[in-house]
Amino acid sequence: MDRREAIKRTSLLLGGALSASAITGIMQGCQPTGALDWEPVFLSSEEASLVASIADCILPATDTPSATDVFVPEFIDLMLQEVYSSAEQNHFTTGLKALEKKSQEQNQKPFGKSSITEQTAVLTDLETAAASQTGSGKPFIHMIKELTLLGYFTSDKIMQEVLSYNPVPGQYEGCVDMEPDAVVSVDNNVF
Amino acid sequence: MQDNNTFDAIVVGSGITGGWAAKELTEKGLKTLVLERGRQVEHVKDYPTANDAPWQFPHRGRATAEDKKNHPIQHKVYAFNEGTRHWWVNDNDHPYTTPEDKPFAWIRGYHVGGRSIMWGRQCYRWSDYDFEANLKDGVGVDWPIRYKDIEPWYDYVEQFVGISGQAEGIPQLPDGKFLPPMEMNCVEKHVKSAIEGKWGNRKMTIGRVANLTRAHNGRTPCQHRNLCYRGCPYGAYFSSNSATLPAAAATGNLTLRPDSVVESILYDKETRRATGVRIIDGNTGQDIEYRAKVIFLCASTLGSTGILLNSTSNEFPDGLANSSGVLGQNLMDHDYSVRVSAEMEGFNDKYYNGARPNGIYIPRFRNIEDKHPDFIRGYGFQGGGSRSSWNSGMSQPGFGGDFKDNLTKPGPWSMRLIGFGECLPYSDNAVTLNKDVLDKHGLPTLKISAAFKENEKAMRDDIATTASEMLEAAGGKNINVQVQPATIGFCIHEMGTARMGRDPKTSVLNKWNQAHDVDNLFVTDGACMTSSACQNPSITYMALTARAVDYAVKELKKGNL
Repeated sequence: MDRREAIKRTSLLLGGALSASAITGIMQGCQPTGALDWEPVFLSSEEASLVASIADCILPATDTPSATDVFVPEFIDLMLQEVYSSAEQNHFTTGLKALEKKSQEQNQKPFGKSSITEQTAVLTDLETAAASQTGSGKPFIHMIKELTLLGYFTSDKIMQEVLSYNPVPGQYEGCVDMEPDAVVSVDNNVF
Repeated sequence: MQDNNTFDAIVVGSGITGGWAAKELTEKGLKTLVLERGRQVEHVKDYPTANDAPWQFPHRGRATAEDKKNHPIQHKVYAFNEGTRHWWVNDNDHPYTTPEDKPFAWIRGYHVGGRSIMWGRQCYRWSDYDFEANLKDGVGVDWPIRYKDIEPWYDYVEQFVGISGQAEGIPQLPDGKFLPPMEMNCVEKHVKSAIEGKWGNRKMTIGRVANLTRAHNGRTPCQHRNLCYRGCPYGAYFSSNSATLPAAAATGNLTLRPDSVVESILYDKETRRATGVRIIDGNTGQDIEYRAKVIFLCASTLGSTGILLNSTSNEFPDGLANSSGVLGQNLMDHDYSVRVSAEMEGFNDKYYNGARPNGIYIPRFRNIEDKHPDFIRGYGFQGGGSRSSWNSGMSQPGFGGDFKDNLTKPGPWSMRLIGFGECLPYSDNAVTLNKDVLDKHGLPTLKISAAFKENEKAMRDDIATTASEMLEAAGGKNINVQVQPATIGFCIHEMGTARMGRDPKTSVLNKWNQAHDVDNLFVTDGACMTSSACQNPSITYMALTARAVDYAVKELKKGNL
């Protein structure tokens, strides 16, 4: 049983329930910063930490949560294990290695210890290179971006608290005025 | 002699036509046995994912590697995802073979209700442009019916089904009996106006869809969640499960037997009638025979033809009701290869509320008054407009806070059109029985050899051309034409192989869907189709079924069957 599950069950035994973010808060309080507080099923601990840094560079906290706030790395790990073919899995882990190598070459430090600006530069370079890539297979940077966005924007916290979640609209109104600060409408459809 | 295995009528299959046959037969007082090869699915009770949110799926809706292993063909269907996968057959349990250069996608759901659970619900009537086409073009054989024969039956079934749509007075797309239409969104209205303003013979209408826009026959209206494919807890779209089977059950005359794989139809050479069916019980493997006075084959196009091919005797060595030799031939599907989309500028302060389970429709305009030099028949378009959502970020450059925050705002509009092209009947697009490859019940499988040919390919170019020019006329930018020659079968409108016709030498069924060779045998699913038109076919199958039952019961009462 992983630590997250243990804390959940303990709180239930004591007659309460803890939200996921509360559990994370407790767990973060118990761990040295940077160490992984969950058990990946596919990635190594180092790879999982790197994925977390990349995900938070793609979708950092603004006045809305970051990718790691809504457990995107855990989601990516599970997807790699259960959705992707072994060729795609290899492609991903190769891409992770290449990204770390590039970070060392470019910034003389691991990606996880680089500044936001340095991290963004690494990812941007990868994205630019991918745009002119020929050959089959989705570029690593596209894979990780897609998984990050999917894990983030279909999480319950983001759907229900950041986007406009309306699972049972009732009527359909085809042509309505939209407020300038409106957010996307989402429902129970999957992408 | 009455026993537990003898009924007035047997219906093979509980899908969109089997459900109708069951309803009509039972409502006319016949004790009716419906044999469904797959498992029971009770309306609402057996829709396990109907209300699930994306985060409740471990893979947020994506098919897993395991899913792809179990469903190497089915998982490619547009409606297959983590929330619907339980509706699609395990391809490994239900194999079929094709020539290497002619792949065929046989898309199936084997359970009570069949594909009436996962269908796209688009309902468009045929007209005499379609029923007369074979005769006029000298292709295939003449339909033994015309619009006037089926029109009252379209009325009849539509009024039970409940179809939302807009009457338009278009001759090649006759109006139906409609519930209030769903709205078009702002961009669709703009595109409609641009197309109709420029071309007098082109129209865009809202999709005619079997979703309820008001309460109907005890079923509640559509809540615009666009989750139809999961099964609807509101009963707001038409399926066997939500509508026809409950109506049949209410009569007290229905016996529904799931897990019943029909192996063959039993034939008596003295009476020259079908006497019943032999099934293999899906759970025990036991052979069981059932008897009835009349048999309705509604097992889906290839399911029904497969059963007929497997029902051999000295009188019918090539399959029951196959004295013509054409059983298995003239398989068709719609060509679904061409999609065209464009960015639509403006409308930035406009949006929509709700997820509409329907799109727009552009009825066939080609080869109606004009005559295209390169191909005969025509095509229609489905499609729609929408604003991009957060997932546009997957193919947009950028990272970081601003990138994230921008994705939470509705993005630019785009409009897309998807062509549905008619396919001609070709005798060499055919299925035969393969006794070398058996399924898990020990039954022969099908060898399917079919491909789109020159007429369909020539039509693709015109589909791309007219879609592009229409989007351009509406101000569409960056027009993107995707021509991905679809594997035949992927439109999931496979039809033909036991066609209706006037001449028993060149057809299997007469104008009543009655087998020329076997008076008490009726085939009313897609197998009966003599041509394919371009319209989604299910409402036509339903109308033919109700009409055929009406005829069969009258014939029974006269003592003719």
